[in-house]
Amino acid sequence: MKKIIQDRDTRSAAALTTIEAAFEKLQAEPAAGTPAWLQPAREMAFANLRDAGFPRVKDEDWKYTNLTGFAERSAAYLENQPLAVKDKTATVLLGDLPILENQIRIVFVNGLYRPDLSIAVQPDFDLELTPYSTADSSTGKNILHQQPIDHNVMIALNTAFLADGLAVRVADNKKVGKPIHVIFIADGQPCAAQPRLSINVGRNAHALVVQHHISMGESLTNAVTTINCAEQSQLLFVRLQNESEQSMHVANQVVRVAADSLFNSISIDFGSQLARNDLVVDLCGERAQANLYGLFMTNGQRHVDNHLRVDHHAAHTTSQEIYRGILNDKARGVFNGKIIVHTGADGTDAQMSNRNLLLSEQAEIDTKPELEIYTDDIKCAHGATTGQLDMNSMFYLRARGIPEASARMMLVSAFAQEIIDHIRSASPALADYLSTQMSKQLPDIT
Amino acid sequence: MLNIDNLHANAGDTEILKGLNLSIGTGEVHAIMGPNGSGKSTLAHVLAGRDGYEVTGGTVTFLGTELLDMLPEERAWHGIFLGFQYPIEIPGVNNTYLLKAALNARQKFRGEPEIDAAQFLRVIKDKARLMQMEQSFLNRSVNEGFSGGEKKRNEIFQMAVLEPRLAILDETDSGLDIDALKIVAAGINALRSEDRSFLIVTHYQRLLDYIEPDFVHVLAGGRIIKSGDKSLALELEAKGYDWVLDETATPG
Repeated sequence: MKKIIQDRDTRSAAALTTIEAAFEKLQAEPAAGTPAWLQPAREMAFANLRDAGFPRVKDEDWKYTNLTGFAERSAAYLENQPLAVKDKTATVLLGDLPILENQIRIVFVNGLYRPDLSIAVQPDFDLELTPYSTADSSTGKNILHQQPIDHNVMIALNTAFLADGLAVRVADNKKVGKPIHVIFIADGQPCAAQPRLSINVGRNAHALVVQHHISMGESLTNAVTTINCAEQSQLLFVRLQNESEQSMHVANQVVRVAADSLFNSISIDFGSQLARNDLVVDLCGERAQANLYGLFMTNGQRHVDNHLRVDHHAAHTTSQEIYRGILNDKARGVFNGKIIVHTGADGTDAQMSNRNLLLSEQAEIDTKPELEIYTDDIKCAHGATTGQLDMNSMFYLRARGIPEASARMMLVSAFAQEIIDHIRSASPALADYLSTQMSKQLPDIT
Repeated sequence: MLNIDNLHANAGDTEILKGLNLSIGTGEVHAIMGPNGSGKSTLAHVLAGRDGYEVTGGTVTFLGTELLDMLPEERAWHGIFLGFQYPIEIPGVNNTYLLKAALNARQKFRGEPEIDAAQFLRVIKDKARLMQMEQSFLNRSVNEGFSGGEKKRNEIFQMAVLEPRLAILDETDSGLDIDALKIVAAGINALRSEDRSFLIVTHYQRLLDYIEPDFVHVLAGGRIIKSGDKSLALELEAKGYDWVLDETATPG
């Protein structure tokens, strides 16, 4: 066992060496269209990546998720970048997606903005959607300001190879109720896509942003999202990962929630061979609130890892985390939810729940709620349950004449639907799409 | 319609049914009464095909087919309905959706086309009215947040929509106040017909004030120990179960 672990770390280190060579080559000959203002940030980020290296097996945060394959695929793909984009694949993938209520659709392929595939937005000075590749130097520096460059090593990797991204800015008092649909396509070419999305919701502003990942073949995605919710703002953020079953996908979201504002997040993983999602929320102003919902469905030998961390830094802050997992065959799931209540965060209310359905004996879930509390006057609760489908419900449905396979699908669907329903009032079109995608998976999952 | 011959069944290591015989003709209403733990619910569950019971002997034929070889859903398609003593709450599964899926599964089994959506809607609205159920119940999750009485009404509503050949009602009267009991009984009576039979499992005679049975049986110790007409139920109500047990006790 020890030998295997050493091998993994050695392989990750070798991958990093390859990545370093690729980085130097890219610095010497930047890809056409890469904004010059990104260069200093990229260099700094790469230095961080090189110093820290890829997560090692003994790192507690990576105990159940092995990134060696991801590091190696990154190295192999980065050696060959940049590549031309396969248009046909992107168009085909886009054809299956819904047009959401307000028709805003911004499309990136392999990390690069594609105006030809996007649905143009009328100029609106209260809602700015700025692809990095179109930003001038001062706008660009503004975009990067406030973004963490080295929050963790995967964010550093993203920044080091960053070529493009999207900045969403909603002006103070502006209410954008309908979804801003941002689609990141990895088209299956040997390309290490580094999608980047930054969202700034102004004071007393409202927004709904959908970060949607789809892919073909053995794609590789390392996504980073940074979110700032100003005072009294409200953001519903939907992250949907529906990539191919051969894809490898790592995503980080770093969120700051200011006083009296509300951050709602719905995170859904249907695809990928290996998916790791880190959502870090800082409730830094009084009465800030976060509701974090999650759903993952996986089967075969696939692996989905959700890590959450909520920091209660201010008084009377509230957080709720509700995650559900559905696993079949030999699939593996990880849920790690950490809530930290810092000194001074009096009156905190934090609730966490993780429920999982294991539909085969060989499926496995590692679930770990963690509470760190440094103050007294708080309310915290957490719970995790893992089990099979309820036999009484199964018998009830079958006694009414529902065949066993359909009864299983009905119950699994109902379990998943409760998470999807949190989207329905904000975007019926997206909720319908998610229900359809979920139903498509049911015959395989159950 | 239903013939139970020398049925033996275990729950775990315990033998519950010990050679039960019962024959139900088409259009007949049979009531099974008996003390707690006599095997009444076990009989209902074994007939509906619930896991957790092992049939160790005997046969059950339903409309000429061997019932015990069938899956629960196949029994439903052949016309068996079980009204649950404790109806299950199933969050996220819509009441109407469940019934439509159940009817369509039966149609498929019979090689018939799917039911017409408009006609189905008319049927469920009519039946809901029969059971004095608000229309809003139709679009709620199965039994979720229903009171005890509403759950039982929902069972009979489902039965009315599914139109079974044999309805097995397991303690349908338990937990009902008198008003709910009347509604449930009226629903059952409305469904009585010459080609539909009932097996009503109950602990008390109360329900039988409203639903007049053709036959009453006393189940005790895993066997039917006495059968009679509706007057037997009244006698049981007046005297309790002990006299039957004494009367039929095997000497020694």
